[in-house]
Amino acid sequence: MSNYLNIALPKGRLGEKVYAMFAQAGFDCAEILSGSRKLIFENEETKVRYFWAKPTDVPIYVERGAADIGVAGKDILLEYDPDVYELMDLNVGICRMCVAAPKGYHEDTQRTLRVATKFPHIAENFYKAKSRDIDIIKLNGSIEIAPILNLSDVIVDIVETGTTLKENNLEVVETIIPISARLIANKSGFKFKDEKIAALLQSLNEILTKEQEK
Amino acid sequence: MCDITEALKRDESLSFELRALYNKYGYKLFKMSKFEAYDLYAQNKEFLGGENMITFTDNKGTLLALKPDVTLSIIKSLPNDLSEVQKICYNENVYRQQKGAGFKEILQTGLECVGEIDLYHTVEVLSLAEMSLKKIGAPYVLEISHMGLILAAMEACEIDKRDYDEVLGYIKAKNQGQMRAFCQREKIFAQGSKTLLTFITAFGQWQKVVNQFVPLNAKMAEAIDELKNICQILSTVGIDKNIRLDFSCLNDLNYYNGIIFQGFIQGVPHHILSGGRYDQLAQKMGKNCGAIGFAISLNELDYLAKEKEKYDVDVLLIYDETTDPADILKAIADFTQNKESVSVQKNIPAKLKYRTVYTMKNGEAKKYE
Repeated sequence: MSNYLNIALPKGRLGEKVYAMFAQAGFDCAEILSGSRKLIFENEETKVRYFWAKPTDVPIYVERGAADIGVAGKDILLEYDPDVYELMDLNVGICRMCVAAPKGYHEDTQRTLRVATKFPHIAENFYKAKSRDIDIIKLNGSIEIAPILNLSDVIVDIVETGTTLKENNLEVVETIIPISARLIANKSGFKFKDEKIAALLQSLNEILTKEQEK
Repeated sequence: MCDITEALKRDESLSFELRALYNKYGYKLFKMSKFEAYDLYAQNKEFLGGENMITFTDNKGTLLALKPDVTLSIIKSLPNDLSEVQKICYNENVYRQQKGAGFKEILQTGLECVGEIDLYHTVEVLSLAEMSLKKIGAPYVLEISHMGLILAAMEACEIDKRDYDEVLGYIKAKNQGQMRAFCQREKIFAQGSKTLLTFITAFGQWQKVVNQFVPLNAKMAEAIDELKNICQILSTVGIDKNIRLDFSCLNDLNYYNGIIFQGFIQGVPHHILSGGRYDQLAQKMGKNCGAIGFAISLNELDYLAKEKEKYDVDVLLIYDETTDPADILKAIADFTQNKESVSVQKNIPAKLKYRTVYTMKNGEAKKYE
């Protein structure tokens, strides 16, 4: 178990994109593309083990050492604040954390602001810095309907292209922070698998620089 | 299976081994009470990482806390004007809130060296930390950092004090990208930015790391020299093999002013040993002296648990109403003399894992086929 480099990838499009980068960096594992429903894939030659996890769980696997490294969006890192190394911005999964509200929304500053979000921690910190009294409504999905149904005044959510907002007659009021996927590492694993991780970092760096030059 | 040493769990036996090691170096065991006045901790909350603690009132209405830390109590117990260096070790349970969870009891073992701390005391404590990690018996790394060096660099870069936490956060997370962005945003001069980034990029064997720093002021030069001297001494006595410099190992600036260090064991996901030079805490508590020490959380060794023991007992001994209890006791004596453990039961328990079954027949234990 221990001489393998364990890598947690977020299930879905982002994870697949990131795997392609890792494979290009020399950490490939052909089996992963076989379309099987397995969740764990190993390459005995390169001694890497990939596994798919729910995106919000990736930092947990890494923080607790079940994965040595992993890939997670900055939004998830800000929300859960795991004690891990944030080694690299992979420049994929780019979007932004925003405050959005129905078009033409005007904030009533006399009242407590009702905020619906999947990211209560981020929302709380953002409004705390402004000393704004808010009421957080934690939802797990379809955040956009909250202001339409008057469940909340605004939402704090990820905006990629803005299409979903537009279709629901919402607009961005304010950008909180830009988001992208980050390569994270377990602090202890980093000490004992340092050479492998350093090699991966270097290759990824070269790939990213090349892409930026394009 | 029944020997005392074998009956002890690894964290238990290790706590005795470590105590013996510290005693050998003249560290006296300090036994503290289970709780302390809450004020002691409230005044130094950042030292405890801002954690909550379990509080309650005594019969006079004084607010007490179950101890979340040992160091504060030890420092408090010492006289204000120390003429000699005090060497103290401890082995205590502390109560701390786990991130996102309830309180946890943590078995901590460690030592404190308080008084006029010089280079010798620093390397003594570091080598004891190294020996402690070695005793655990798994691959380990002792990381050394220097709060004074980082602070001096931040001063040289004229970083606003309010931004210290942000900068320390980036160093702690080895976050190069955001450190670079910070340097640009704050328009930090080229050499300064380079130094701040070096705290992230430079880690590993000390010889390789120390020379990457170009001192920006006298305080930095002094701290670099101290790090060099310490590593040189550790290298002379041949214990630098598992020692690394790594500045992501950080602690609170308000309390730690010099060398700080953390120990990692392969298989345990976070640091197991943590320590450093904390003169500022000692001084804040009215002691006119310096202090250095470390603590090991022995609970973390649970991560290293070997394969579960295959059997709960060696022998399962079955008896019935007709068996004379004296015969059972005699039979047990025979088994235990052969270092076999026995569970005596009337029926076979559903969840017990045993090596062999014996039944009592005619006053004797017979192997059941």
